[in-house]
Amino acid sequence: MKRGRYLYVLPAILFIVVFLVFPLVYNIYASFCTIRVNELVLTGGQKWVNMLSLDSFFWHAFKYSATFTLVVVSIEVVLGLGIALLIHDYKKGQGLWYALLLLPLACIPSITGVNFKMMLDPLYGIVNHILGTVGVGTIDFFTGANTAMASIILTDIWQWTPFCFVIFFAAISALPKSIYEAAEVQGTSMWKKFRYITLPLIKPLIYIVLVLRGLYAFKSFSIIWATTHGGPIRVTSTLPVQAYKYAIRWGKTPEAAVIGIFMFFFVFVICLYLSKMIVRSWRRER
Amino acid sequence: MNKKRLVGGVLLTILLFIFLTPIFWMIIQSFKESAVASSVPPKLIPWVDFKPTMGNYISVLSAPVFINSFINSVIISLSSVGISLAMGIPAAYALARLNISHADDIRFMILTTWMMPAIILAVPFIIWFRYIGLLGSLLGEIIACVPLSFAIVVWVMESFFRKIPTSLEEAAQLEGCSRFKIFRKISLPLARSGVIAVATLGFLFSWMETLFPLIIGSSRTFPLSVTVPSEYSPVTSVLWGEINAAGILTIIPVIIVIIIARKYIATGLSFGVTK
Repeated sequence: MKRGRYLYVLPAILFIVVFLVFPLVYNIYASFCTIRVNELVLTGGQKWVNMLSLDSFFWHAFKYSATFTLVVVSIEVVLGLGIALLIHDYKKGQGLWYALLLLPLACIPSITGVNFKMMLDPLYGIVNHILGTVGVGTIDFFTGANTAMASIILTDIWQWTPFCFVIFFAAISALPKSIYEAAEVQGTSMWKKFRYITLPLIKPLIYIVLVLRGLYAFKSFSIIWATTHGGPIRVTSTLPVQAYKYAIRWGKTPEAAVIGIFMFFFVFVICLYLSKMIVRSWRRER
Repeated sequence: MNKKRLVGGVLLTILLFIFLTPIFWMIIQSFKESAVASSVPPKLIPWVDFKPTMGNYISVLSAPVFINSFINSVIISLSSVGISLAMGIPAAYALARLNISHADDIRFMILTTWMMPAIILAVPFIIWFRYIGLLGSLLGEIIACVPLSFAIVVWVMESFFRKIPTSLEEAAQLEGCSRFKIFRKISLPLARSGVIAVATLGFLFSWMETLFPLIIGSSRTFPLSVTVPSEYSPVTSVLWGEINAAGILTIIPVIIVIIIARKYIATGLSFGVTK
């Protein structure tokens, strides 16, 4: 059977149709509709105009999403890489450090959110208690409009840095030791070793981790919802949070669809560029 | 040399402190009676500041809600990963070795599913599942969780299959093995650590997913990720002790899975993704 090999990809194609094509088509259609008597009725581009007009909350939500994603991903990737390099130097007890640093990954994000909400509570939280003891005073964390975003960024960093760490550690462990030994003999400094040996070798992986974390952080919902529900006064209402409120809380499917489609194409364009870079680095290896 | 070690050691200890303290605090809180757990100022040392109790754990473990959610979590996570593997591994092999036309496009479209914001999937799914009668069912939640792991399965496994030397496969082909036999007897076993790595990751992503089960499921099919945050914090009073105990209990299965699969994940991810 000459065409038999397509059977291998058939389930994947089915998957793409069900989980990509249909939802996209549906959402694009819904974004041009209005809800009348619980039904979607095609009415034109009104929702798009409303949502994307300069004075709508949409652009605030977009700003919050972008801020959150950029800050969180850059810190997590740098930290994760740094920790991986740090641990890698330690031959003794490596397994133990590794296992312990992995623990945040084992926590369910929504439960992490609840836990951090309790720990950072202005009145009952242990953190504010300690801050009070050292004389710093109470910080509002999730309840203060100025501190809420920073607090959820903190929570996300706690939750996901180990993810970056695990991947980078595995990569660094797999690098050939011979080059390092040669460099060691020549007396190369630690920084030079990193810059000229380690960094170029794991660069494709850094891109992959950036993409994976970036995508995931942009659509991040659980932690934000568990800690602040998008508040106070909507300062942590990122695009996914807004979309959820529109779709589930207020039953306004068209508006949620607008947000969803916007998010999708925004990310699509960025990923198009990034993934071409990754595949190109693969091809270079071959 | 020694100064470097010292600085490194101090940094590591600080990091460990930062990453472990929240979990450590959860453990302490879980052994306090709920009234004590919410006391101001918070009490730190067991047996000195407060009386530790197993009451919360007993209470949580005997609650039907918890047991039911736990079973749901296990079923949803295992099943959705299983489906991802069954559909994704053959696809990865085909993309790596079988010269599929439009391979680049297929690969990219699979990555695109990972890009989809949850809400874009959730809303049509609610409508379709309601139509088919799957709304509120475990099967519905399982299906909804497949996209969480599918892209990773395909991308990582494709890396793996590419690393297997073609000479092995060509030799088998010369001996007259069918393509499927090569896949089953040579490629798959060699990529075994990759399978375990993506299976573990996929399991993890499904285990921690809150939004899809929340939207698609019903109260009898909610997994732990939905029930634990809401069950123990009714509006009137938070059952601090119990919610922490429940939280710790949700971590334990994951730790067990990671310990079992750890060896494979380390080799798996690195082998699959770097040179």
